[in-house]
Amino acid sequence: MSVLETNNLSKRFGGVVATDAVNLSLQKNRVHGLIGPNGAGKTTLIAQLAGQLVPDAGRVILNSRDITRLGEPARVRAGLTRTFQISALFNDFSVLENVAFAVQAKAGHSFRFWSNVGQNKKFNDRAHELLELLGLSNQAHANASALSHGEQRQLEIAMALATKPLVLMLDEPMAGMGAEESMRLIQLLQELKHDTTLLLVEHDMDAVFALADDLSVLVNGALIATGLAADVRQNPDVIAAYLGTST
Amino acid sequence: MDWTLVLTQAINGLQLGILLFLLSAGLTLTFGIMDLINLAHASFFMLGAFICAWATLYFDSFVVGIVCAILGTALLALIVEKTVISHLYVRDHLDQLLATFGLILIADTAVHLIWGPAGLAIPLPSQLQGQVRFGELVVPTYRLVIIGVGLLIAATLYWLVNKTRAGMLIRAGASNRQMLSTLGINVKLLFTSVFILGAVLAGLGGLLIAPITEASIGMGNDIIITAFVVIIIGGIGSIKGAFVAALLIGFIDTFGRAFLDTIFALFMSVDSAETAAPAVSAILVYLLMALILVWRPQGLFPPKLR
Amino acid sequence: MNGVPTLHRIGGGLVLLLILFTPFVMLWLGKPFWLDIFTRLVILAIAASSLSLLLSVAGLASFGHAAYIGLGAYAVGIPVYYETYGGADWLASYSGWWHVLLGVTVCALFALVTGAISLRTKGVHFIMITMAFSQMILYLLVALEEFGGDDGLSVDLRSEFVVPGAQVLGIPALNMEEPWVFYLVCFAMLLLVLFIVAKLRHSHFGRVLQAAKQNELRVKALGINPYRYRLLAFVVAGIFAGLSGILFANYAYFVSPSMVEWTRSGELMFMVILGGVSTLFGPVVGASVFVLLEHFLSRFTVFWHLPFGILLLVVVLFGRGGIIGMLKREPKT
Ligand SMILES: Nc1ncnc2c1ncn2[C@@H]1O[C@H](COP(=O)(O)OP(=O)(O)O)[C@@H](O)[C@H]1O
Ligand SMILES: [Mg+2]
Repeated sequence: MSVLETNNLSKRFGGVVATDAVNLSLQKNRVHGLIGPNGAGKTTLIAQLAGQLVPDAGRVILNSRDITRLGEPARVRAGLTRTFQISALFNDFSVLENVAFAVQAKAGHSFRFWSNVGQNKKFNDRAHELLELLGLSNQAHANASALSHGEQRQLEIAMALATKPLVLMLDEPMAGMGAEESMRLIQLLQELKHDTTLLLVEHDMDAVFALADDLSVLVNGALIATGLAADVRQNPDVIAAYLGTST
Repeated sequence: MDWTLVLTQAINGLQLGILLFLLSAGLTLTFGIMDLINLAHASFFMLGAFICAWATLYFDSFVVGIVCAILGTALLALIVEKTVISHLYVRDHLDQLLATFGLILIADTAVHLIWGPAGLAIPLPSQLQGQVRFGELVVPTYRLVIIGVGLLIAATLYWLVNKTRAGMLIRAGASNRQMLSTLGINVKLLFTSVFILGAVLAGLGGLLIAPITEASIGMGNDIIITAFVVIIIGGIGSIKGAFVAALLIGFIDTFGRAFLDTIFALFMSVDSAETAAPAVSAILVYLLMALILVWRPQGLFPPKLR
Repeated sequence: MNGVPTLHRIGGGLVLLLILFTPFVMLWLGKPFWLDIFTRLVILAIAASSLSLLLSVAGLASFGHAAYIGLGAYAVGIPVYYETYGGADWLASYSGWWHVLLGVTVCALFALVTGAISLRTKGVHFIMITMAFSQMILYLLVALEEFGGDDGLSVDLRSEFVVPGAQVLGIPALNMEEPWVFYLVCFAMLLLVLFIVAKLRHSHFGRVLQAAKQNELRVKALGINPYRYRLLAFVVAGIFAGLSGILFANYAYFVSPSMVEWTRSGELMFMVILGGVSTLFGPVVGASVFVLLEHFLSRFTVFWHLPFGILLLVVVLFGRGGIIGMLKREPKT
């Protein structure tokens, strides 16, 4: 069953065609890999799916509902969450506060003025769970800006998970992680698959091949191939345009 | 309606618009190119007026006064840019605003120290004191001079920004600082020049209006906010937007003050029209700003490449 | 974020105690005019604290805060004027409750409308638009000939706060005309505002504001649109500034459009920055330093704006984090 789908999605920046009539379809509880060279338009595509960018043409459909006109926060509340290629954290907050805030965002409106949110047990407990999951527990009280690059990437994912997404879009989550951190994340994503649909943009081919059930290849804004990962890997166009050089 | 009156008010509106343009052109240029928001622009408006007044009285010549004012504001702008402003380019807008607010306090007190608390009037040469007749319409010569000079400057600016190499640099600077420096262009020099240009334009505005209102301490502090409204409406960073919005505000403000009571009297009692009209006309341009912002939050002509 | 505040709280408490008792000590030393200076100080501290809710917590650089002080002040001036000289019976009153109701309503509405427009923009647009809207209030007040236009209105009597039934119970009415009673009222209001700002800062609401200040993109990506939260903060800050305006009209027995000049907003901003933006008591310290400096400098020279301007430049260029920030700054290792 298709959970998230695009119809002829298109976006240009001046002369650059960043998204060229893309028809993408994510199947429920599967990992969909999205690969393509730098500048192919992967981040731009995610931004349009997330509602951060408005497409010039085409539609975005989530669970048979047209969400093309829906704002970004509303899409997140509908279950569509993304992470950022360049970590977007709250640098003055502690690691725990970053995640606890993400939990707070999921918990309903925040027009609550009296109780001290820093002492909210529900938020903090859930945040600790997520930090445990991402292996950040011992950094809980450090400032987010004090984390190493790899740890910031983990925090990025912890925050996204706090929103309990139905569809999670990961923009190069492993970039900048050490080998051990990557391994751990691959394992985590494997487990997530049981109840989450994943769109994984990643340059680390080992990770993509380990995780992806389906695979799409984006070049110059256009999908040149999409389908079962095993099939797409054998596609001669893909090998010529992309995989050929690196594997 | 009395068409002579309408025409007279149109000329007043044009004059106010031109004045606003002189002030906002520099503001919008410095913002567009250096990403700098400069309250002290108001001080150059005042300094232009005071230096011109002083030199006109001292040398007994308006022309010498004007030359001194232009050179004086340029020199002061150079000093201020080197000592303070150049440190502000990389700061956030709030810091820029507060620091240049500090400059205003300093400039206002300095003028007070030098020229005393009272204003200085600028005597016009006799050739400019007369009136020009167009049929029934009588216009003071000096008003026409202001309008002519203003339009001339607007045209020069348009030519400078759109047709010259310097202007190309200016427009490039507005879109890409790095590109400029990789092209081997002296960004510091460009920034200093643009700042001085903006200050001189403000000074010109001040000295042009001073023969009518006289030079007084803090004379720029209110009109600078109207100039802000101009560049908000026009689109911050756009010269064309500043020109259109300045004229728009000049006309709307002038016509509002002149005719709103008549218009109101059409659908309410003369008494209530006379109470309501001044209040509404005082806030007319702000209502216009609010409306335009609801419609286009970035103003009428937002620069594309920001 | 949790360990640091204790020291600040003690320091802040000391500052408040110092402010509370100094005028009385001075009174005892035979210098009663300090009560007057400190009343002004406390009122400005309220306004600065309300601005810090926007600036420090939400990161919204509103440069039109003086408008609310003016609106609050006229919410006292106009009813008192009508009550004294007749006219507009529905508006006329000496009652402080009425003044507060009126001032709060007007400020809330003005903040709601102008906030709804200006919060759609960011950065320098936001700064300039808030500035322009406050200038609009200035020109509106100037245009109201009935209330003295440029010259303003004198307020013949201070607001009367009569608690119904209190007299029967033998509780004396608040006599606001008594300077030290009025001072204590202002001080209590400062405490109240500080308390609420502190509560808000650490609430769910405050956390959204702080998060959106740091990274708006991420807040949206977590499913929260910060707009309505910011708008509410804008309204709350407007109301508090309005309260300080109500007190100011009572303090000065006078209201005028000059209270709304943008330079006043600039001074408020200066107080907040001077005290340090990241703490609850920063604005109080900033307002204190501002008022005391102004007092001492203006005794020496009519040109006291000159050192003020220079101080402002120095603070912005070199003293990031303000006075409290400088004290807090740990030596670099
Ligand atoms: N905001 C923007 N303005 C102009 N061009 C952009 C913008 N964002 C992306 N682009 C261009 O769109 C293309 C796709 O970029 P991006 O989506 O970041 O690629 P990828 O994530 O695949 O590396 C690139 O050519 C990039 O320069
Ligand atoms: Mg990318």
